[in-house]
Amino acid sequence: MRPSLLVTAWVIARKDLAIEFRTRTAFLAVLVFAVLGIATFYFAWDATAVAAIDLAPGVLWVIFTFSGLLSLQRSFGVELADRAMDALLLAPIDREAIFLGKALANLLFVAGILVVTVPSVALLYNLPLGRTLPILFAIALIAAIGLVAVGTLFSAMAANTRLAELLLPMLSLPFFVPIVYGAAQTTSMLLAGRPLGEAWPFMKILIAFDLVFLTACTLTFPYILEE
Amino acid sequence: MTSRALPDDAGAASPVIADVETRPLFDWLFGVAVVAMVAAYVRAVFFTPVEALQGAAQKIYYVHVPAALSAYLALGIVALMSIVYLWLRDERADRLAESSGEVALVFLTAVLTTGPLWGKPIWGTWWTWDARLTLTLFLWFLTAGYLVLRGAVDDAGMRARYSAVIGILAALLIPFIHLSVYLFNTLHPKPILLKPDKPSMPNEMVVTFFGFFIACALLCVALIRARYRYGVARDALRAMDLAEEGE
Amino acid sequence: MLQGGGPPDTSSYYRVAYVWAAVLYAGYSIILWARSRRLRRIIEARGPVRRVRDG
Repeated sequence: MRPSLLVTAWVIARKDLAIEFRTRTAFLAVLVFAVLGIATFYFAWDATAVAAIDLAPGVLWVIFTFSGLLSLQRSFGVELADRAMDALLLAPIDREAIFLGKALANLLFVAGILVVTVPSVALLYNLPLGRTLPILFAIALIAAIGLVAVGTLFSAMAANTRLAELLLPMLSLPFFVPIVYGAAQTTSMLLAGRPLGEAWPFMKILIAFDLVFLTACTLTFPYILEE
Repeated sequence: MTSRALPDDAGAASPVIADVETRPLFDWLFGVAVVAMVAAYVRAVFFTPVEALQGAAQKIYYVHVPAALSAYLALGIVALMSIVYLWLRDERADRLAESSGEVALVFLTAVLTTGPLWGKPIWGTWWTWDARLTLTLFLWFLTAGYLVLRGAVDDAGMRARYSAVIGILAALLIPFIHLSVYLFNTLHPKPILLKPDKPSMPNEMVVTFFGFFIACALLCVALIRARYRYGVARDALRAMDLAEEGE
Repeated sequence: MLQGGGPPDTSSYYRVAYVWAAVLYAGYSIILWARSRRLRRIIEARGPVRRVRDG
Protein backbone atom coordinates (compact mmCIF):
# COMPACT_ATOMS: atom_id res chain seq x y z
CA MET A 1 0.00 0.00 0.00
CA ARG A 2 1.28 3.43 -0.88
CA PRO A 3 1.86 5.58 2.17
CA SER A 4 -0.36 8.30 0.83
CA LEU A 5 -3.36 5.94 0.97
CA LEU A 6 -3.04 5.55 4.72
CA VAL A 7 -2.18 9.20 5.25
CA THR A 8 -5.24 10.27 3.28
CA ALA A 9 -7.34 7.81 5.22
CA TRP A 10 -6.11 9.25 8.47
CA VAL A 11 -6.92 12.79 7.34
CA ILE A 12 -10.46 11.76 6.49
CA ALA A 13 -10.81 9.87 9.76
CA ARG A 14 -9.66 12.93 11.66
CA LYS A 15 -12.21 15.07 9.84
CA ASP A 16 -15.05 12.74 10.72
CA LEU A 17 -13.96 12.45 14.33
CA ALA A 18 -13.54 16.22 14.60
CA ILE A 19 -17.12 16.71 13.40
CA GLU A 20 -18.29 14.10 15.86
CA PHE A 21 -16.29 15.55 18.69
CA ARG A 22 -17.77 18.97 18.21
CA THR A 23 -21.26 17.86 19.10
CA ARG A 24 -20.75 14.51 20.82
CA THR A 25 -24.48 13.84 20.67
CA ALA A 26 -24.20 10.68 18.58
CA PHE A 27 -21.57 9.21 20.84
CA LEU A 28 -23.58 9.89 23.95
CA ALA A 29 -26.73 8.51 22.35
CA VAL A 30 -25.04 5.24 21.45
CA LEU A 31 -23.42 5.05 24.87
CA VAL A 32 -26.74 5.50 26.64
CA PHE A 33 -28.31 2.89 24.37
CA ALA A 34 -25.54 0.40 25.16
CA VAL A 35 -25.69 0.80 28.91
CA LEU A 36 -29.49 0.73 28.93
CA GLY A 37 -29.36 -2.42 26.85
CA ILE A 38 -27.03 -4.10 29.29
CA ALA A 39 -29.34 -3.14 32.12
CA THR A 40 -32.40 -4.43 30.24
CA PHE A 41 -30.75 -7.78 29.73
CA TYR A 42 -30.10 -7.88 33.44
CA PHE A 43 -33.78 -7.50 34.22
CA ALA A 44 -34.71 -10.07 31.62
CA TRP A 45 -32.42 -12.59 33.25
CA ASP A 46 -33.35 -15.26 35.75
CA ALA A 47 -30.20 -15.49 37.83
CA THR A 48 -31.19 -18.80 39.32
CA ALA A 49 -31.53 -20.45 35.92
CA VAL A 50 -28.45 -19.11 34.15
CA ALA A 51 -25.11 -18.27 35.70
CA ALA A 52 -23.73 -14.78 35.13
CA ILE A 53 -20.63 -16.09 33.46
CA ASP A 54 -22.77 -17.96 30.95
CA LEU A 55 -24.98 -15.01 30.15
CA ALA A 56 -22.39 -12.25 30.04
CA PRO A 57 -20.75 -13.07 26.70
CA GLY A 58 -24.13 -13.14 24.98
CA VAL A 59 -25.11 -9.80 26.45
CA LEU A 60 -21.82 -8.22 25.57
CA TRP A 61 -21.84 -9.29 21.95
CA VAL A 62 -25.48 -8.56 21.29
CA ILE A 63 -25.08 -5.06 22.71
CA PHE A 64 -21.85 -4.70 20.78
CA THR A 65 -23.65 -5.56 17.55
CA PHE A 66 -26.56 -3.21 18.01
CA SER A 67 -24.53 -0.28 19.28
CA GLY A 68 -22.20 -0.88 16.38
CA LEU A 69 -25.16 -0.63 14.03
CA LEU A 70 -26.29 2.58 15.64
CA SER A 71 -22.83 4.06 15.33
CA LEU A 72 -22.71 3.17 11.66
CA GLN A 73 -26.08 4.69 10.94
CA ARG A 74 -24.78 8.16 11.63
CA SER A 75 -21.57 7.64 9.70
CA PHE A 76 -22.72 8.61 6.24
CA GLY A 77 -25.39 10.95 7.40
CA VAL A 78 -22.56 13.37 8.01
CA GLU A 79 -21.75 13.56 4.31
CA LEU A 80 -25.31 13.73 3.09
CA ALA A 81 -25.80 17.16 4.61
CA ASP A 82 -25.00 19.91 2.11
CA ARG A 83 -23.80 17.38 -0.43
CA ALA A 84 -20.45 17.34 1.30
CA MET A 85 -19.79 14.04 -0.42
CA ASP A 86 -19.36 15.80 -3.76
CA ALA A 87 -16.44 17.76 -2.38
CA LEU A 88 -14.83 14.56 -1.19
CA LEU A 89 -15.30 12.95 -4.58
CA LEU A 90 -13.79 15.89 -6.41
CA ALA A 91 -10.64 15.83 -4.31
CA PRO A 92 -7.69 14.03 -5.95
CA ILE A 93 -7.70 11.12 -3.57
CA ASP A 94 -8.27 7.39 -3.95
CA ARG A 95 -11.81 6.27 -3.32
CA GLU A 96 -10.34 3.45 -1.27
CA ALA A 97 -8.79 6.05 1.02
CA ILE A 98 -12.22 7.54 1.65
CA PHE A 99 -13.43 4.13 2.69
CA LEU A 100 -10.48 3.41 4.95
CA GLY A 101 -10.78 6.84 6.51
CA LYS A 102 -14.46 6.43 7.27
CA ALA A 103 -13.92 2.89 8.51
CA LEU A 104 -11.14 4.09 10.78
CA ALA A 105 -13.34 6.84 12.18
CA ASN A 106 -16.09 4.30 12.80
CA LEU A 107 -13.62 1.95 14.44
CA LEU A 108 -12.45 4.62 16.84
CA PHE A 109 -16.05 5.54 17.55
CA VAL A 110 -16.96 1.93 18.31
CA ALA A 111 -13.78 1.52 20.37
CA GLY A 112 -14.90 4.47 22.46
CA ILE A 113 -18.22 2.80 23.08
CA LEU A 114 -16.44 -0.43 24.00
CA VAL A 115 -14.27 1.34 26.56
CA VAL A 116 -17.45 1.96 28.53
CA THR A 117 -19.46 -1.11 27.57
CA VAL A 118 -16.96 -3.89 28.27
CA PRO A 119 -16.21 -2.84 31.86
CA SER A 120 -19.94 -2.27 32.42
CA VAL A 121 -20.71 -5.84 31.49
CA ALA A 122 -17.82 -7.10 33.60
CA LEU A 123 -19.01 -5.09 36.58
CA LEU A 124 -22.73 -5.78 36.32
CA TYR A 125 -22.28 -9.48 35.79
CA ASN A 126 -19.52 -9.89 38.36
CA LEU A 127 -16.89 -11.16 36.03
CA PRO A 128 -13.36 -11.54 37.42
CA LEU A 129 -12.09 -8.16 36.20
CA GLY A 130 -8.37 -8.39 36.37
CA ARG A 131 -8.08 -11.53 34.37
CA THR A 132 -10.79 -10.90 31.83
CA LEU A 133 -10.71 -7.23 30.90
CA PRO A 134 -7.61 -7.21 28.69
CA ILE A 135 -8.78 -10.33 26.88
CA LEU A 136 -12.24 -8.94 26.32
CA PHE A 137 -10.87 -5.68 24.96
CA ALA A 138 -8.59 -7.53 22.57
CA ILE A 139 -11.36 -9.72 21.22
CA ALA A 140 -13.71 -6.75 21.02
CA LEU A 141 -11.24 -4.76 18.97
CA ILE A 142 -10.64 -7.56 16.52
CA ALA A 143 -14.38 -8.12 16.17
CA ALA A 144 -14.91 -4.38 15.75
CA ILE A 145 -12.61 -4.29 12.74
CA GLY A 146 -14.81 -6.77 10.87
CA LEU A 147 -18.01 -5.07 11.98
CA VAL A 148 -16.78 -1.68 10.90
CA ALA A 149 -15.44 -2.88 7.54
CA VAL A 150 -18.76 -4.35 6.47
CA GLY A 151 -20.87 -1.74 8.21
CA THR A 152 -19.10 1.25 6.67
CA LEU A 153 -19.65 -0.13 3.18
CA PHE A 154 -23.28 -0.93 3.79
CA SER A 155 -24.04 2.38 5.45
CA ALA A 156 -22.58 4.10 2.38
CA MET A 157 -24.98 2.07 0.24
CA ALA A 158 -27.96 2.46 2.49
CA ALA A 159 -27.51 6.22 2.75
CA ASN A 160 -28.39 6.49 -0.94
CA THR A 161 -31.58 4.48 -0.73
CA ARG A 162 -35.09 5.09 0.39
CA LEU A 163 -35.15 2.59 3.24
CA ALA A 164 -31.84 3.53 4.82
CA GLU A 165 -32.69 2.75 8.45
CA LEU A 166 -34.16 -0.63 7.54
CA LEU A 167 -31.57 -1.61 4.98
CA LEU A 168 -28.48 -1.14 7.09
CA PRO A 169 -29.44 -3.69 9.77
CA MET A 170 -31.10 -5.97 7.26
CA LEU A 171 -28.01 -6.21 5.08
CA SER A 172 -25.42 -6.12 7.85
CA LEU A 173 -26.72 -8.58 10.42
CA PRO A 174 -26.13 -11.74 8.38
CA PHE A 175 -22.55 -10.56 7.97
CA PHE A 176 -22.16 -9.86 11.66
CA VAL A 177 -23.12 -13.38 12.67
CA PRO A 178 -19.71 -15.03 12.11
CA ILE A 179 -18.13 -12.16 14.04
CA VAL A 180 -20.53 -12.48 16.94
CA TYR A 181 -20.24 -16.24 16.92
CA GLY A 182 -16.45 -16.27 16.94
CA ALA A 183 -16.24 -13.52 19.55
CA ALA A 184 -18.87 -15.00 21.85
CA GLN A 185 -17.40 -18.49 21.79
CA THR A 186 -13.90 -17.19 22.41
CA THR A 187 -15.15 -15.02 25.25
CA SER A 188 -17.06 -17.77 27.05
CA MET A 189 -14.20 -20.21 26.68
CA LEU A 190 -11.65 -17.80 28.03
CA LEU A 191 -13.92 -16.69 30.86
CA ALA A 192 -14.39 -20.31 31.81
CA GLY A 193 -10.66 -20.59 32.08
CA ARG A 194 -10.11 -22.80 29.06
CA PRO A 195 -6.68 -22.58 27.46
CA LEU A 196 -6.21 -20.27 24.51
CA GLY A 197 -5.55 -23.21 22.22
CA GLU A 198 -9.14 -24.37 22.49
CA ALA A 199 -10.49 -20.97 21.62
CA TRP A 200 -8.10 -20.58 18.72
CA PRO A 201 -10.42 -21.96 15.97
CA PHE A 202 -12.93 -19.25 16.83
CA MET A 203 -10.29 -16.56 16.85
CA LYS A 204 -9.20 -17.79 13.47
CA ILE A 205 -12.69 -17.21 12.11
CA LEU A 206 -12.62 -13.67 13.47
CA ILE A 207 -9.22 -12.84 12.07
CA ALA A 208 -9.94 -14.47 8.70
CA PHE A 209 -13.21 -12.57 8.49
CA ASP A 210 -11.45 -9.31 9.20
CA LEU A 211 -8.82 -9.87 6.55
CA VAL A 212 -11.23 -11.06 3.86
CA PHE A 213 -13.85 -8.41 4.36
CA LEU A 214 -11.56 -5.49 5.00
CA THR A 215 -9.98 -6.24 1.64
CA ALA A 216 -13.22 -6.99 -0.18
CA CYS A 217 -15.01 -3.91 1.16
CA THR A 218 -12.09 -1.63 0.38
CA LEU A 219 -11.94 -2.94 -3.17
CA THR A 220 -15.69 -2.75 -3.83
CA PHE A 221 -16.23 0.67 -2.24
CA PRO A 222 -15.33 2.64 -5.39
CA TYR A 223 -18.23 0.95 -7.18
CA ILE A 224 -20.58 2.38 -4.59
CA LEU A 225 -19.41 5.92 -5.12
CA GLU A 226 -19.56 6.05 -8.89
CA GLU A 227 -21.90 8.56 -10.36
CA MET B 1 -29.86 -2.58 -25.80
CA THR B 2 -33.35 -3.69 -26.41
CA SER B 3 -35.38 -1.28 -24.33
CA ARG B 4 -35.19 1.93 -26.19
CA ALA B 5 -37.86 4.56 -26.61
CA LEU B 6 -37.90 6.88 -29.56
CA PRO B 7 -39.20 10.33 -28.79
CA ASP B 8 -42.01 12.00 -30.67
CA ASP B 9 -41.30 14.44 -33.37
CA ALA B 10 -42.21 17.83 -32.06
CA GLY B 11 -45.82 18.56 -32.85
CA ALA B 12 -46.44 15.20 -34.49
CA ALA B 13 -49.13 12.94 -33.10
CA SER B 14 -47.09 9.76 -33.43
CA PRO B 15 -46.97 7.79 -30.23
CA VAL B 16 -43.90 6.67 -28.36
CA ILE B 17 -42.58 3.44 -29.77
CA ALA B 18 -40.59 0.91 -27.86
CA ASP B 19 -38.91 -2.42 -28.44
CA VAL B 20 -40.78 -4.88 -26.33
CA GLU B 21 -40.10 -8.49 -25.53
CA THR B 22 -42.58 -10.59 -27.48
CA ARG B 23 -41.71 -14.10 -26.45
CA PRO B 24 -44.17 -15.47 -23.93
CA LEU B 25 -43.17 -15.88 -20.33
CA PHE B 26 -44.19 -19.51 -20.18
CA ASP B 27 -43.06 -21.41 -23.21
CA TRP B 28 -42.12 -24.98 -24.03
CA LEU B 29 -39.39 -25.11 -21.39
CA PHE B 30 -41.86 -24.26 -18.67
CA GLY B 31 -44.29 -26.82 -20.07
CA VAL B 32 -41.63 -29.50 -19.93
CA ALA B 33 -40.72 -28.46 -16.39
CA VAL B 34 -44.33 -28.66 -15.24
CA VAL B 35 -44.78 -32.09 -16.81
CA ALA B 36 -41.55 -33.25 -15.17
CA MET B 37 -42.66 -31.98 -11.77
CA VAL B 38 -46.05 -33.66 -12.05
CA ALA B 39 -44.34 -36.90 -13.08
CA ALA B 40 -41.93 -36.63 -10.15
CA TYR B 41 -44.79 -36.03 -7.76
CA VAL B 42 -46.77 -38.95 -9.07
CA ARG B 43 -43.78 -41.23 -8.85
CA ALA B 44 -42.93 -40.14 -5.32
CA VAL B 45 -46.48 -40.41 -4.06
CA PHE B 46 -47.66 -43.58 -5.75
CA PHE B 47 -44.69 -45.54 -6.95
CA THR B 48 -42.09 -45.16 -4.24
CA PRO B 49 -42.12 -47.33 -1.17
CA VAL B 50 -42.54 -45.85 2.26
CA GLU B 51 -39.35 -45.94 4.26
CA ALA B 52 -39.33 -48.42 7.11
CA LEU B 53 -37.95 -46.35 9.96
CA GLN B 54 -39.21 -42.88 9.20
CA GLY B 55 -42.55 -43.51 7.63
CA ALA B 56 -44.13 -41.35 4.99
CA ALA B 57 -42.35 -38.20 6.15
CA GLN B 58 -39.13 -39.47 4.63
CA LYS B 59 -40.64 -38.66 1.25
CA ILE B 60 -40.33 -34.99 2.08
CA TYR B 61 -36.65 -35.52 1.39
CA TYR B 62 -37.48 -35.78 -2.33
CA VAL B 63 -38.93 -32.29 -2.35
CA HIS B 64 -36.62 -30.68 0.19
CA VAL B 65 -33.17 -31.51 -1.14
CA PRO B 66 -33.78 -30.83 -4.85
CA ALA B 67 -35.31 -27.48 -3.90
CA ALA B 68 -32.14 -26.67 -1.97
CA LEU B 69 -29.96 -27.63 -4.92
CA SER B 70 -32.05 -25.53 -7.29
CA ALA B 71 -31.79 -22.61 -4.90
CA TYR B 72 -28.01 -22.97 -4.85
CA LEU B 73 -28.03 -23.06 -8.64
CA ALA B 74 -30.02 -19.84 -8.80
CA LEU B 75 -27.80 -18.15 -6.22
CA GLY B 76 -24.71 -19.26 -8.08
CA ILE B 77 -26.11 -17.42 -11.09
CA VAL B 78 -26.65 -14.33 -8.95
CA ALA B 79 -23.06 -14.36 -7.73
CA LEU B 80 -21.65 -15.01 -11.19
CA MET B 81 -23.78 -12.33 -12.85
CA SER B 82 -22.78 -9.86 -10.15
CA ILE B 83 -19.14 -10.28 -11.08
CA VAL B 84 -19.98 -10.17 -14.80
CA TYR B 85 -21.95 -6.97 -14.37
CA LEU B 86 -19.20 -5.11 -12.52
CA TRP B 87 -16.77 -6.26 -15.16
CA LEU B 88 -18.79 -5.73 -18.35
CA ARG B 89 -21.53 -3.31 -17.25
CA ASP B 90 -24.06 -5.20 -19.33
CA GLU B 91 -27.57 -4.61 -18.02
CA ARG B 92 -28.57 -8.08 -19.11
CA ALA B 93 -26.26 -9.57 -16.52
CA ASP B 94 -27.93 -7.44 -13.89
CA ARG B 95 -31.38 -8.44 -15.10
CA LEU B 96 -30.42 -12.13 -14.99
CA ALA B 97 -29.07 -11.70 -11.47
CA GLU B 98 -32.31 -10.05 -10.37
CA SER B 99 -34.42 -12.81 -11.90
CA SER B 100 -32.32 -15.56 -10.38
CA GLY B 101 -32.47 -13.87 -6.99
CA GLU B 102 -36.24 -13.77 -6.97
CA VAL B 103 -36.57 -17.40 -8.07
CA ALA B 104 -33.95 -18.40 -5.49
CA LEU B 105 -36.07 -16.87 -2.76
CA VAL B 106 -39.03 -19.03 -3.80
CA PHE B 107 -36.95 -22.20 -3.66
CA LEU B 108 -35.29 -21.18 -0.40
CA THR B 109 -38.73 -20.68 1.11
CA ALA B 110 -39.65 -24.18 -0.02
CA VAL B 111 -36.53 -25.58 1.66
CA LEU B 112 -37.12 -23.68 4.89
CA THR B 113 -40.74 -24.77 5.14
CA THR B 114 -40.37 -28.41 4.13
CA GLY B 115 -37.33 -28.81 6.38
CA PRO B 116 -39.18 -28.38 9.68
CA LEU B 117 -42.04 -30.52 8.34
CA TRP B 118 -39.47 -33.24 7.94
CA GLY B 119 -37.59 -32.44 11.12
CA LYS B 120 -40.55 -32.57 13.46
CA PRO B 121 -41.48 -36.20 12.91
CA ILE B 122 -37.90 -37.37 12.40
CA TRP B 123 -35.86 -35.42 14.92
CA GLY B 124 -38.72 -34.49 17.21
CA THR B 125 -38.01 -30.79 16.83
CA TRP B 126 -39.22 -28.15 14.37
CA TRP B 127 -35.87 -26.48 14.02
CA THR B 128 -32.31 -27.62 14.31
CA TRP B 129 -29.15 -25.65 13.70
CA ASP B 130 -27.69 -28.23 11.40
CA ALA B 131 -25.57 -27.23 8.45
CA ARG B 132 -28.13 -27.17 5.71
CA LEU B 133 -31.01 -25.49 7.50
CA THR B 134 -28.82 -22.83 9.09
CA LEU B 135 -27.12 -22.02 5.82
CA THR B 136 -30.47 -21.90 4.07
CA LEU B 137 -31.80 -19.53 6.69
CA PHE B 138 -28.87 -17.20 6.10
CA LEU B 139 -29.24 -17.44 2.36
CA TRP B 140 -32.88 -16.56 2.75
CA PHE B 141 -32.04 -13.41 4.70
CA LEU B 142 -29.29 -12.46 2.29
CA THR B 143 -31.50 -13.00 -0.75
CA ALA B 144 -34.38 -11.10 0.81
CA GLY B 145 -31.95 -8.29 1.64
CA TYR B 146 -30.72 -8.33 -1.95
CA LEU B 147 -34.26 -7.95 -3.27
CA VAL B 148 -35.21 -5.27 -0.75
CA LEU B 149 -32.08 -3.33 -1.66
CA ARG B 150 -33.04 -3.50 -5.33
CA GLY B 151 -36.47 -2.22 -4.50
CA ALA B 152 -35.07 0.71 -2.57
CA VAL B 153 -32.81 2.17 -5.26
CA ASP B 154 -34.45 4.12 -8.04
CA ASP B 155 -31.55 4.75 -10.36
CA ALA B 156 -30.91 1.74 -12.60
CA GLY B 157 -27.13 2.03 -12.74
CA MET B 158 -26.82 2.49 -8.98
CA ARG B 159 -29.20 -0.37 -8.35
CA ALA B 160 -27.19 -2.69 -10.55
CA ARG B 161 -23.88 -1.72 -8.98
CA TYR B 162 -25.12 -1.99 -5.40
CA SER B 163 -26.76 -5.34 -6.05
CA ALA B 164 -23.61 -6.65 -7.65
CA VAL B 165 -21.50 -5.63 -4.66
CA ILE B 166 -23.93 -7.27 -2.25
CA GLY B 167 -24.00 -10.38 -4.43
CA ILE B 168 -20.24 -10.73 -4.34
CA LEU B 169 -19.94 -10.04 -0.62
CA ALA B 170 -22.71 -12.50 0.18
CA ALA B 171 -20.87 -15.16 -1.81
CA LEU B 172 -17.76 -14.42 0.26
CA LEU B 173 -19.78 -14.81 3.43
CA ILE B 174 -20.95 -18.35 2.69
CA PRO B 175 -17.72 -20.13 3.69
CA PHE B 176 -17.73 -18.26 7.00
CA ILE B 177 -21.27 -19.35 7.76
CA HIS B 178 -20.34 -22.92 6.85
CA LEU B 179 -17.33 -22.84 9.11
CA SER B 180 -19.27 -21.35 12.01
CA VAL B 181 -22.00 -23.96 11.69
CA TYR B 182 -19.44 -26.75 11.46
CA LEU B 183 -17.71 -25.58 14.63
CA PHE B 184 -21.07 -25.09 16.32
CA ASN B 185 -22.11 -28.62 15.54
CA THR B 186 -18.85 -30.14 16.72
CA LEU B 187 -19.25 -28.21 19.95
CA HIS B 188 -22.86 -29.22 20.42
CA PRO B 189 -23.43 -32.60 18.81
CA LYS B 190 -27.05 -33.44 18.40
CA PRO B 191 -28.39 -36.68 19.74
CA ILE B 192 -29.64 -38.10 16.49
CA LEU B 193 -31.50 -41.33 16.61
CA LEU B 194 -31.63 -41.65 12.88
CA LYS B 195 -29.31 -40.34 10.23
CA PRO B 196 -31.67 -39.31 7.50
CA ASP B 197 -29.18 -37.27 5.52
CA LYS B 198 -27.35 -40.00 3.74
CA PRO B 199 -29.35 -43.16 3.94
CA SER B 200 -28.27 -45.98 1.72
CA MET B 201 -31.29 -45.79 -0.52
CA PRO B 202 -32.59 -48.63 -2.57
CA ASN B 203 -32.59 -48.00 -6.29
CA GLU B 204 -36.24 -47.06 -6.52
CA MET B 205 -35.72 -44.20 -4.12
CA VAL B 206 -32.61 -43.05 -5.89
CA VAL B 207 -34.52 -42.86 -9.16
CA THR B 208 -37.32 -40.88 -7.54
CA PHE B 209 -34.83 -38.51 -6.00
CA PHE B 210 -33.00 -38.03 -9.26
CA GLY B 211 -36.27 -37.45 -11.09
CA PHE B 212 -37.26 -34.76 -8.62
CA PHE B 213 -33.84 -33.20 -8.92
CA ILE B 214 -34.14 -32.92 -12.70
CA ALA B 215 -37.70 -31.61 -12.50
CA CYS B 216 -36.78 -29.00 -9.90
CA ALA B 217 -33.77 -27.83 -11.86
CA LEU B 218 -35.86 -27.52 -15.01
CA LEU B 219 -38.51 -25.57 -13.14
CA CYS B 220 -35.85 -23.30 -11.67
CA VAL B 221 -34.37 -22.50 -15.06
CA ALA B 222 -37.79 -22.04 -16.65
CA LEU B 223 -38.89 -19.67 -13.90
CA ILE B 224 -35.68 -17.67 -14.16
CA ARG B 225 -36.20 -17.34 -17.89
CA ALA B 226 -39.81 -16.29 -17.43
CA ARG B 227 -38.86 -13.74 -14.80
CA TYR B 228 -36.10 -12.46 -17.06
CA ARG B 229 -38.54 -11.83 -19.88
CA TYR B 230 -40.81 -10.02 -17.49
CA GLY B 231 -37.80 -7.92 -16.54
CA VAL B 232 -37.16 -7.03 -20.18
CA ALA B 233 -40.73 -5.81 -20.58
CA ARG B 234 -40.60 -3.89 -17.32
CA ASP B 235 -37.36 -2.17 -18.30
CA ALA B 236 -38.90 -1.25 -21.65
CA LEU B 237 -41.74 0.43 -19.83
CA ARG B 238 -39.32 2.29 -17.59
CA ALA B 239 -37.41 3.47 -20.63
CA MET B 240 -40.64 4.76 -22.13
CA ASP B 241 -41.41 6.60 -18.91
CA LEU B 242 -37.99 8.18 -18.86
CA ALA B 243 -38.28 9.23 -22.47
CA GLU B 244 -41.63 10.83 -21.81
CA GLU B 245 -40.27 12.67 -18.82
CA GLY B 246 -37.47 14.00 -20.94
CA GLU B 247 -39.85 15.65 -23.35
CA MET C 1 -38.25 -48.15 18.08
CA LEU C 2 -39.27 -51.71 18.68
CA GLN C 3 -42.81 -51.62 17.48
CA GLY C 4 -44.81 -54.54 16.38
CA GLY C 5 -46.49 -52.60 13.57
CA GLY C 6 -45.02 -50.88 10.53
CA PRO C 7 -43.33 -47.47 10.30
CA PRO C 8 -44.78 -44.55 12.29
CA ASP C 9 -47.65 -42.67 10.72
CA THR C 10 -46.09 -39.43 9.65
CA SER C 11 -48.26 -39.04 6.57
CA SER C 12 -49.88 -35.75 7.57
CA TYR C 13 -46.50 -34.00 7.54
CA TYR C 14 -45.67 -35.43 4.20
CA ARG C 15 -48.96 -34.41 2.64
CA VAL C 16 -48.72 -30.86 3.94
CA ALA C 17 -45.16 -30.58 2.67
CA TYR C 18 -45.97 -31.83 -0.81
CA VAL C 19 -49.07 -29.71 -1.17
CA TRP C 20 -47.32 -26.64 0.18
CA ALA C 21 -44.38 -27.00 -2.21
CA ALA C 22 -46.76 -27.30 -5.16
CA VAL C 23 -48.68 -24.26 -3.92
CA LEU C 24 -45.45 -22.27 -3.66
CA TYR C 25 -44.25 -23.05 -7.15
CA ALA C 26 -47.66 -22.67 -8.76
CA GLY C 27 -48.36 -19.52 -6.79
CA TYR C 28 -45.14 -17.86 -7.88
CA SER C 29 -45.79 -18.79 -11.51
CA ILE C 30 -49.28 -17.31 -11.33
CA ILE C 31 -48.04 -14.13 -9.68
CA LEU C 32 -45.38 -13.78 -12.37
CA TRP C 33 -47.96 -14.28 -15.10
CA ALA C 34 -50.29 -11.72 -13.52
CA ARG C 35 -47.50 -9.15 -13.26
CA SER C 36 -46.61 -9.71 -16.87
CA ARG C 37 -50.18 -9.35 -18.04
CA ARG C 38 -50.61 -6.08 -16.16
CA LEU C 39 -47.39 -4.77 -17.63
CA ARG C 40 -48.40 -5.62 -21.18
CA ARG C 41 -51.69 -3.84 -20.74
CA ILE C 42 -49.89 -0.72 -19.57
CA ILE C 43 -47.43 -0.84 -22.46
CA GLU C 44 -50.12 -1.38 -25.04
CA ALA C 45 -52.19 1.43 -23.61
CA ARG C 46 -49.34 3.73 -24.49
CA GLY C 47 -49.96 3.19 -28.16
CA PRO C 48 -48.51 1.07 -30.95
CA VAL C 49 -45.30 -0.71 -30.11
CA ARG C 50 -42.67 -2.16 -32.34
CA ARG C 51 -42.18 -5.76 -31.40
CA VAL C 52 -38.80 -7.41 -31.47
CA ARG C 53 -36.93 -10.08 -29.63
CA ASP C 54 -34.62 -9.50 -26.74
CA GLY C 55 -30.94 -10.03 -27.48
